Amino acid sequence: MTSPDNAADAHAPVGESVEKVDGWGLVTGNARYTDDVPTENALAGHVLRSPHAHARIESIDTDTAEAIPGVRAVLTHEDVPAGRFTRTGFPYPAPAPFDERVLNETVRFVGEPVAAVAARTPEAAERAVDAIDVEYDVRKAVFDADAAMEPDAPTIHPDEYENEQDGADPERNVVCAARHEEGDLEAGFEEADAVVEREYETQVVQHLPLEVNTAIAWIDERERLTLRTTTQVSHICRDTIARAFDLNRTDVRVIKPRVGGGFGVRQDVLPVQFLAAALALETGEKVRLRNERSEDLHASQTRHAQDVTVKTGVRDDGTITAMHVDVTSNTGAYGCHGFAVLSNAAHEPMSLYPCENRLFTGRAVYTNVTPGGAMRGYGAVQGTFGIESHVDEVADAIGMDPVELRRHNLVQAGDESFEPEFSESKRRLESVGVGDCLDRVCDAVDWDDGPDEPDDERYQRGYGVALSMAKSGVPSSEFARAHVTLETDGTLTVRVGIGDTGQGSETVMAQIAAGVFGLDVDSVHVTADDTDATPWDNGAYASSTTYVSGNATEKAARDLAVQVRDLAAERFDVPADAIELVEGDLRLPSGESLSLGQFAEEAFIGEGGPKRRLTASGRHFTALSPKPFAAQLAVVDVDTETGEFEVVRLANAVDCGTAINPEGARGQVIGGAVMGLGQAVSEELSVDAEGVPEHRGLRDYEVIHAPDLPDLDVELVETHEPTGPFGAKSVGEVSVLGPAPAIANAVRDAVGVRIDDLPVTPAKVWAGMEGEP
Amino acid sequence: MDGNDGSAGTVSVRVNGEPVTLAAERGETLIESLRNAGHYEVKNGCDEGVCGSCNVLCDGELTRACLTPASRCDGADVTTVKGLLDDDNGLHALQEEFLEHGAAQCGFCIPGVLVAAYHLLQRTTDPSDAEIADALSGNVCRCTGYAQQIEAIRDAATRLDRAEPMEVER
Ligand code: FES
Ligand code: FES
Repeated sequence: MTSPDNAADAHAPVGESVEKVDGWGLVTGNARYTDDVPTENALAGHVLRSPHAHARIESIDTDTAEAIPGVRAVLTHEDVPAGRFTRTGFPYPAPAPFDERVLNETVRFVGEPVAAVAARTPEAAERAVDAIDVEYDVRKAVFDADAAMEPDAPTIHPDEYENEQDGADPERNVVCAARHEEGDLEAGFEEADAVVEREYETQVVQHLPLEVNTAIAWIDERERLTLRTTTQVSHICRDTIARAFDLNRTDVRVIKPRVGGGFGVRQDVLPVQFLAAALALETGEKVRLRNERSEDLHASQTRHAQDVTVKTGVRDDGTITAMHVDVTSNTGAYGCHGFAVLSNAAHEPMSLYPCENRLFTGRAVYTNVTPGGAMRGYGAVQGTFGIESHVDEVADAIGMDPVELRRHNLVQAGDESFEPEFSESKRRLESVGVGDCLDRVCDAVDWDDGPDEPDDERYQRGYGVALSMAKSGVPSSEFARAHVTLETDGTLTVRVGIGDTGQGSETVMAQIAAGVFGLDVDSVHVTADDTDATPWDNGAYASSTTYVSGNATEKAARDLAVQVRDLAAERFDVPADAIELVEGDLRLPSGESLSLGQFAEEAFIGEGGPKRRLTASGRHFTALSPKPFAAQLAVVDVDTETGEFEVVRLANAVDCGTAINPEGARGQVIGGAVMGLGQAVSEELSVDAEGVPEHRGLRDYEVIHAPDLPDLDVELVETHEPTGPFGAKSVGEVSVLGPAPAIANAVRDAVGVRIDDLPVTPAKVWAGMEGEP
Repeated sequence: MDGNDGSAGTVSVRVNGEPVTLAAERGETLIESLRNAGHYEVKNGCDEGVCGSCNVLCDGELTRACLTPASRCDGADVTTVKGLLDDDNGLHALQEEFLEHGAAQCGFCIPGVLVAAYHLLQRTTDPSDAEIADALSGNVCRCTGYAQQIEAIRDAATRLDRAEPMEVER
């Protein structure tokens, strides 16, 4: 943590757009991802998946499959541990029901694994999968969350399970219920001059990291289970796999090579990881299991679909007197992240408008669709769509400009946020730049003077804004440790268990360590790829890495710097605090200087004292979670003759505290905004009446491509977060939140049509213009 | 998808100038044969011809290696992202600009994006942003939102244009 007296040593390369430490491999094709190693001797894994949305497996006959030449193992629910767990990637016990096994006897969505095969060749594995004979007792299925709570709905998890969440009613498919009230809601509505209520719906989308989920598992020469796999949480993956198979933690090793994106899907321990582990344990051989893209799209966790009802009381002067947000979250077949995503959906966006009387109610509900999970934004995408759309409706109800209404109610530094008690940030927000962010995007289009309206009858232009707030880690949960060693040539080795899946966290850790010593980034090597080589870290989720692991890295580096100064003070008989660490040198008060390398080498040789290897460790645990903020503004042109529309501009202003790597931060903002744009206008995974996915593969899943881009502007509105490493907060998630409501608000501004269910499509806009409900 | 080249299940190609014999006896796609030969820089992002991460040049044509039977490439000159490096393994201007602009996040799409960009710069030395975006229309990048990639390609084009005569097709 940067305390005021050492804040002065905050120097380059912190704050510089240095190239990524892993960049050379990425642009030359030399980077090695999970599957980029020879596996010709590995067994090929293949998975039999359920064709039914809800069925009990009556019998499985694997005899024919096992008799196929080359087949080494066929595993079914009868062959895997009986214990149940959650794949939810939090430290044990995660806030989610223990409601699944490696292979389940009852399958609960189309695409759920039924059996796993390992064979000498992929062809034999495929033939074996085809030869497995399963008799299913097909049950009634339900896909809609509201329908799933009806008395006549099938109960999806009738058997008791451990780690039941608050408010659960498994009989009615309710995984958990949440309620958080402050003030007196009814009194707040009484005080209001207008009360506005509306329901908003969000769709199912998928992370679609470009590298599909993959695992290679083997038993090493010390008889330990080793996985090389696409994960963003290597330590949690190790822990969860060890628990599932009842192994010592030390008998499991997880290697995280380069990983091709994550966005939350790899926060969970994935079916490919459990199944590859099970097959390796069964056969004693190396097993390679790689999803096809269509399997990844159909059967990997998704973003939870949510219905968000917002009811707001407002006075004529624009003061919000009460807000009630009610969320129903469809968690699909398993309760993965059911509670935390639900909770986050309302807490983050509601924090933007700290009114005295506020209530959040909600529930997560089982259905027979692919399980929801953690995805960039983590519930706040859904809640922000509802609330930020609704704020415009509220403004309209009292005839006020929507930006004015936001400014009137906006959260300020020193305010309380709306979040659970376990967060100390609840009581005080230190760095809050959201007002500046809003001003910047408004200035970009001259909002206050009335932005440009092209003189065109047919194409109507609309402007819409949305604000958002995210987090920097899960308060009172995240824990990171970092080890830093000063090598005898003056370079630093940082060992930290972060999960860089492309976002640049290894680079940020290198910058932080280098910044403490005044070194360049090339003099720092970050090792983060192996649970054998790194201390515990929760990994990459909840926008925690820069803040939590960054603080651990900064502390370790500062501790090491103290050791260096103390030893030098002894050796040269000068006061420790008079020694400067600059550009890889130790500068003494006399003006003499000595390179860090020479100093470290002499210390190790033992000149003037015992032999020393200079190494330090830092750890960070925090009950705080400082909030990054964003304002996003969309400019949309709508064709009034067809309902077709074009997003012509998306302006983004983001408060992430100090940007440790401005170009990297800009990349996070743009990447998030474009993912949010896809959520807003094109992406949707749907199932038919039987629960079968309606898309064949990536070709049917509409992501944003380069020619679809609007003009994108990004402003980093820097604030200083006093508890962050060098003043930093997070930046990975906040910009994915605003595009959907900003675009819906812009469409409303253009043609007076409120689209309250995502994605916003020309057909819905057209129907709205035609006056259809 | 049986190879119908009549040979004994192998295909002779040059990959980035080096003669290579690829196995193709089981009807492999070009990406399978290349990766089996150790060319892991050719990435498989979708297996269905829509993400562009498997892009290579075959005799100068932009080619989806996941859709192309290896048997159809006999005698071809194949360029992967590694073919952009110069003889001393120095980075191509495109690669340098991608680093400079933070245009590679996870990097998984990058071999395919760079090959598409390289192909564009073979045809035009001064592309507009719209032309660059168009050249990337067959690539999915889930991390960057493309903007820094477009900037990087534009700056690489400017640099190469200034540094005439442009390096010629290998
Ligand atoms: S892997 Fe070939 S286009 Fe996606
Ligand atoms: S950099 Fe990750 S997909 Fe493009």
